[in-house]
Amino acid sequence: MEPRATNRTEALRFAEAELTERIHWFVRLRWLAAVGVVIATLGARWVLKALVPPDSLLVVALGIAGYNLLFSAWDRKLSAQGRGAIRWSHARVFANLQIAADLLCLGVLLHFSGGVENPVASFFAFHMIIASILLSREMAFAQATLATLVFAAVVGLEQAGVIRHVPLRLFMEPDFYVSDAAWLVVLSLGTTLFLIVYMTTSITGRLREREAEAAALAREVAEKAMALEQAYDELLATQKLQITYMRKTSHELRAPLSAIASTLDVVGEGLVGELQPKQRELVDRARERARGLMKLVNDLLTLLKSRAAPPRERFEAVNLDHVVREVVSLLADRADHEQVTVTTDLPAGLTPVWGDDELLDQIVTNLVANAVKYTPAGGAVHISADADEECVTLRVADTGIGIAEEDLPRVFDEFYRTKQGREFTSRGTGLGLAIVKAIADAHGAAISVESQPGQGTSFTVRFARADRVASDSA
Amino acid sequence: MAKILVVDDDPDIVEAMRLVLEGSHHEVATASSAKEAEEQTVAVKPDLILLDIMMPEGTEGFQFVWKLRNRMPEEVRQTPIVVLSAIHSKVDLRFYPEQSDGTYSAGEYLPVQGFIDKPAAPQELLNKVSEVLGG
Repeated sequence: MEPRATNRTEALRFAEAELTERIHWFVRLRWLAAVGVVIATLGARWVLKALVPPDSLLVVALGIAGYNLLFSAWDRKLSAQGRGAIRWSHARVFANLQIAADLLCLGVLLHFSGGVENPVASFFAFHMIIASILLSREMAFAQATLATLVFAAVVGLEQAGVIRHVPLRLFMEPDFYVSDAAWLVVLSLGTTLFLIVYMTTSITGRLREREAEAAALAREVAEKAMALEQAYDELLATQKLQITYMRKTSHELRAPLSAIASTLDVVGEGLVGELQPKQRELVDRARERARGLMKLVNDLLTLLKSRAAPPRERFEAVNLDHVVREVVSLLADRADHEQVTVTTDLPAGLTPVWGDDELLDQIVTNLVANAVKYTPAGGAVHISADADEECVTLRVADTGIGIAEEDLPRVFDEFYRTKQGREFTSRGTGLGLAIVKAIADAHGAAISVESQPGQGTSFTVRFARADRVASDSA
Repeated sequence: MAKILVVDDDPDIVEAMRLVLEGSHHEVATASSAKEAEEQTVAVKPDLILLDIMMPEGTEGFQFVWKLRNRMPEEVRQTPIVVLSAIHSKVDLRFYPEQSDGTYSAGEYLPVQGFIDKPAAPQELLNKVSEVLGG
């Protein structure tokens, strides 16, 4: 599978990055080790009264410091290339050489401090852990082999008498180093080292793969986010263009429509001569259609204007009760004509809302006109408003034909008219409630609708209180 | 009856309005641009100007109002104006002068006597005219 392979390569890259980053570890740790050897030697002499030859050990410490000076110079030379420029192959050779040197040095140190008797042999484990983290698995096993061989060489050469055993006499019998049991120590140390390498490389390998996966995932998410953002920008631009075209088209349509309506009016009113009844009927029908079309174009323009996010700086404190009263008086004739009673319940001193007075006028006009239109003769429309801590709530309720439940989610869609609505009256552009929704959105107002078919409909809009917004922005 | 100047760049609209107004025995002069409107205003000294605010570029009507009120001969400066607004929105009629010598600050309403939606039904137009002339 390709992603997995990619993750492997990626994991390797992480390992390389880690090595070049941590290459300085060795030198620093080694200074500590040199100091540690000196302290341990002196400590062993005074505290443990152990019979180790301190001179040889101090020489070894000096040796460690000596070759560390060389490595330190090498490290500085590598670093001078800049961290990012350190080549992986150089770093690997450098790390391997240092670990190997340390293993040999630990062997020498062990020899001068009791050989197989000295529990410090377990310090080989540290190098195995470092090698497992920083080197490839194969290299780490190679180092484990070297460590085991070095230890075995110390034990073997001491047993053979090639080099003189330095007795520690701490925990073991003086002749332990020549016993077969000494080989048991070598075997268990070797096994421990191999197990450490095996476990550590398994864990770091898995961690690196996870790291690589996370990085790949993060990259993928970032790419997707960028693509999404781009798509969104394109969509926004398209939408803007669409709105511009629609606005232009609507404006272009309105001029001739206006001329048609005006001209028909003149004829219909008999200003250029009396009409025969049939002529009058046809002209009236044409007038009606022209007005309908005019309304559609106007509604469309209002909708586009509301959608184009009206500038917030134009917002001000608006008395909703004034707006409602004005709208009701403007629509009074129409309501009378439809025989619909319009009542209001507006508390005195209603808290002003934060908004654009023109758009608020539009939202109330559309809600009330809609309620009047879809309420049969003899019905009623009730407009109420009240304020709570957070909002000013406007409610327009009617005893009209209602909206079927399945239509409720779509009533705010543009050009959507319910079946019952169309059956009740042919008039209507299907834009009124879309305008209402757009204006509510522009004001950050929540709008909801409840309806019972045959019983009536109630629209509720919750506007922000002007004083809240004003104090928020202050 | 009154002398009324109708200013609109749409000849059909001008004609329709002329017929409606003449039907009510008003005397009608017409103009199709701001420049022509200025000339006619000085020549005819109308009792009322019906002005299409959007002709033919968005700001021409606005500039005409400003010029009439500030730069034209004293005797015509106070001629009442009814704006024919096809936009049905007084917000859009807030005046934002483009020239630096404009005396109106941004957001002020136009110094006119009335607005009427375009196209105006004949009776609506006549009502508005008599309202402005009567007051």
